[in-house]
Amino acid sequence: MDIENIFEIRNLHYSFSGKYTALSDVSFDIRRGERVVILGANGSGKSSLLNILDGLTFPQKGEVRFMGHTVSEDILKDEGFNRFFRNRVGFVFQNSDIQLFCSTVWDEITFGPLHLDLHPDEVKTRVLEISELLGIVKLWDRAPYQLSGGEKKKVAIASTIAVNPDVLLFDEPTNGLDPRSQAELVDFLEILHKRGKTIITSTHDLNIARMISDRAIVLNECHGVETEGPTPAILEDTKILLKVNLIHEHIHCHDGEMHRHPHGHLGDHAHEHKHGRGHRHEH
Amino acid sequence: MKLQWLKTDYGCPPSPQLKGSPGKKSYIEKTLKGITSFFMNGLFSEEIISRGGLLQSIDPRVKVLTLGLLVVAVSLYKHLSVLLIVYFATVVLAYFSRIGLRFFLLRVWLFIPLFSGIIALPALLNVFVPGEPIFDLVTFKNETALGPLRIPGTISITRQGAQSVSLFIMRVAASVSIVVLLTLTTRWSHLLKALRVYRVPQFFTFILGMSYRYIHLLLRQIEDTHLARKSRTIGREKGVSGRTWTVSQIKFVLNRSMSTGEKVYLAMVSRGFTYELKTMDNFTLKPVDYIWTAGSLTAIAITLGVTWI
Repeated sequence: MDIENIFEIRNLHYSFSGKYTALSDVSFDIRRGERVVILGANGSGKSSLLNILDGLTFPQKGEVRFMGHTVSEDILKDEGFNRFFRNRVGFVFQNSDIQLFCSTVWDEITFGPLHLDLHPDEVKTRVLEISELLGIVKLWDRAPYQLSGGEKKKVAIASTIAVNPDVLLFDEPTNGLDPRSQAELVDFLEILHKRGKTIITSTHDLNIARMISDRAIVLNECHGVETEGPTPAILEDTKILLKVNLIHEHIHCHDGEMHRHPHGHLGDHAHEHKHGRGHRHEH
Repeated sequence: MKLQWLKTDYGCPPSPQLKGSPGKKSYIEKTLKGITSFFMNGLFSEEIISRGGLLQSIDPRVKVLTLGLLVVAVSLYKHLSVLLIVYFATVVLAYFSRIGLRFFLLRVWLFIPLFSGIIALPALLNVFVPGEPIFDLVTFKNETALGPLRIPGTISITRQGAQSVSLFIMRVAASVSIVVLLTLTTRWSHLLKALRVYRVPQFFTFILGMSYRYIHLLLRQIEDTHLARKSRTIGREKGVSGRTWTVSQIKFVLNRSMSTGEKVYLAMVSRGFTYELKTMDNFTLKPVDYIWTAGSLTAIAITLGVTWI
């Protein structure tokens, strides 16, 4: 075991109802303090993978090790390990409505710290400070159904961060957010990274991926790992991105810039793309 | 080339001919709007709570205690005059709590004939409550018997019956008014917290809170689904297809609520939930709460004294 590794994932297989494969032979490591993005098209298994990393669902085959301990349903029944694990791994769900189950924003943010037996004074300090940082103090008395999409996401993040986990899992964090809220989220993730947090984000948003990660793990449509490597290099690899259906032949990225080719036809023919430096395209 | 049919022809619009009543909505739309509006505005209204009237300024714990005691007292009052005073007091409280009087009176009096009126009305008649007749309704040739029930020759409304029905209806009206005042001036979350202070089991209040929270979510989803269907419905819709759709939606919503429930449970587990709920209340009592408590307890004691002594 490498003590630098927070997560060690080995040969994961997971399927829904034993029929529909969500993950197939997935293996990778996550190191302490890393910013990793899990890239994949819709239905490639990103959300299932994050659920498994958070110990919410369990693979039919393979192993997940967290700081050297195998994470399984039985081990999480142990109160001591459960507390240790939940204290260290936080998960911001894709659908904020699922995550915000309390009657008010205040109850929502206090839920995690109270369940991990923090002193009420410490809980109050954390709630105040995280709420001030995210600008949601004024929402404390509001019910989650009265919030906008961006506000809900901020409350979901605050309720996860209030536990002060070392590892943060974000499932499609920018989904449905306006550009300003997306930029605020990117800034906030940067703050967390500087505090030494390990940040694992699943997304298919290539623009955001570049800003919030140093390493990318790419899932293919067969639900396995297609490749992994430094994010800039992965985002430059048009062949890989085309193969896993993350980009379209007419919309893709070169040297950090998105390109949109003006074509007006519907899949009647294919193009050859030869890209070199200086954004030269041949069709 | 494929997709030959995918061409554009704006054409000319036919002259619209209006049929039926203008602005008339389908029964599905009316029902959905009614249910949504009841949950959004009728039961707990954020807009009324934020108006800052008298009852809104009282601590929720104090309100639950004093108004709860008042409901108990209402069930013990024996005189119609005392019940009328209490009912009048609730209307005054509604006024000082900046609740529209029409809205408040409708909220109370719409329910009363529906639930208690039907139960109480037979008691007006001498068939059930013998007494001094004040108004004759029907006269038969002879007295008859219907099982154990004796039907008199003349069916009339009796003084005793009218008294007991008005006592019953005023008791219900006063109790419903008190509960409506409590729910309209207290945030749902604060009400649940106040109940927890009085040792109502936490799991019970938590499930109530979650139910209310997710009813909103499911209602919004149903509304969106209805609108999506409406946008793709061409021509007038037949009642049968509307009803069939409603039935299919009930099944769909049930499945969706089960799936949502599972996901919510996982979200709770992710944040350390292990079947034991922990919450933190941050209420503080103000001078107005002490004044209100003293005033309302005195009023309850005096009115009970008038009734029983």
